[in-house]
Amino acid sequence: MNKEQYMKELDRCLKGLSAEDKEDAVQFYEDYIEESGLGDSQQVEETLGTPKEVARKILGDCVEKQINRQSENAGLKNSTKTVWLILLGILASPVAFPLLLVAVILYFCMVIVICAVSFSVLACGIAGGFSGIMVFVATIWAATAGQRLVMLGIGVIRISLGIMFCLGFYQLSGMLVRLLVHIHRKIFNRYAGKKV
Amino acid sequence: MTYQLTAPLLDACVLGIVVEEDAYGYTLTQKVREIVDISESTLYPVLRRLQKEELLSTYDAPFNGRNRRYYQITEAGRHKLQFYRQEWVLYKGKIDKLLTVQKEGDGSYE
Repeated sequence: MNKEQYMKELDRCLKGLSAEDKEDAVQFYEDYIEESGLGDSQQVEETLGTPKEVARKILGDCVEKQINRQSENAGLKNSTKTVWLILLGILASPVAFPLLLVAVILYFCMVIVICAVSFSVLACGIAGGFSGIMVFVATIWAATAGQRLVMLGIGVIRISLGIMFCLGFYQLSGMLVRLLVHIHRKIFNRYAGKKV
Repeated sequence: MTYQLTAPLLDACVLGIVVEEDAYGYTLTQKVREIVDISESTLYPVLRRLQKEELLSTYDAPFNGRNRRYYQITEAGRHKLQFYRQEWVLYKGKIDKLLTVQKEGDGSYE
């Protein structure tokens, strides 16, 4: 592996970072290798570590930053980005491949379950609200005032249930992402050690 | 190194070096490594973070036909460094008091 391949590999490991973040990191390490006067990639690897190890440090730091950003401003977009960066960080971890594969699969399952649960709650909310509105509309065809009142009541109940489910989705998804972050931190700290 | 280097302390070291003169990645890393035992790939994330927190800014200057990226301390960085300095003096004083105060008279460490 020559220097170009080393940089290419690093570039590949950093996929998923924003273009700006990646470019900055790649330029830094290109300069660094140039300045350090290290001849071939073997020497580079001895001093800096493998591209994967270098990438892991960069990704680990990006995850921290993202987590901080998220705790300031929890939104669906930020949460998705957090999960994505966590996954990248895990993929760059130096564990035996089979173990890694199992961990990644488990992780994906967890993410899928979390998404599925959250979205089913959201779906309940939307469906509930929508059916409530439909019942309102249907009161036009009610035969008597009594019927109309009953239907209005049902509509109100459905809409309020719908709103409750939507709020529940918001809370639940935030909670689950936090849980995920917590688990990730535990795993990551174990492999990265506490050392800076 | 027996005592663990924490992230704020590393930030403070970097700011303390850059406040003296602008530095580029390689020399900056080497300077930090003269003081504390960190691996060569540790510093980049730190620099990037400080840059994003706008404590450091960067500029490119040509050198030998290519660009070197220099790191420069910002006004916010100077304030932060001042804060780190005060914190360090406080902390150092407390630890010194506990660990290295000599017992009156016999010159031995308590």
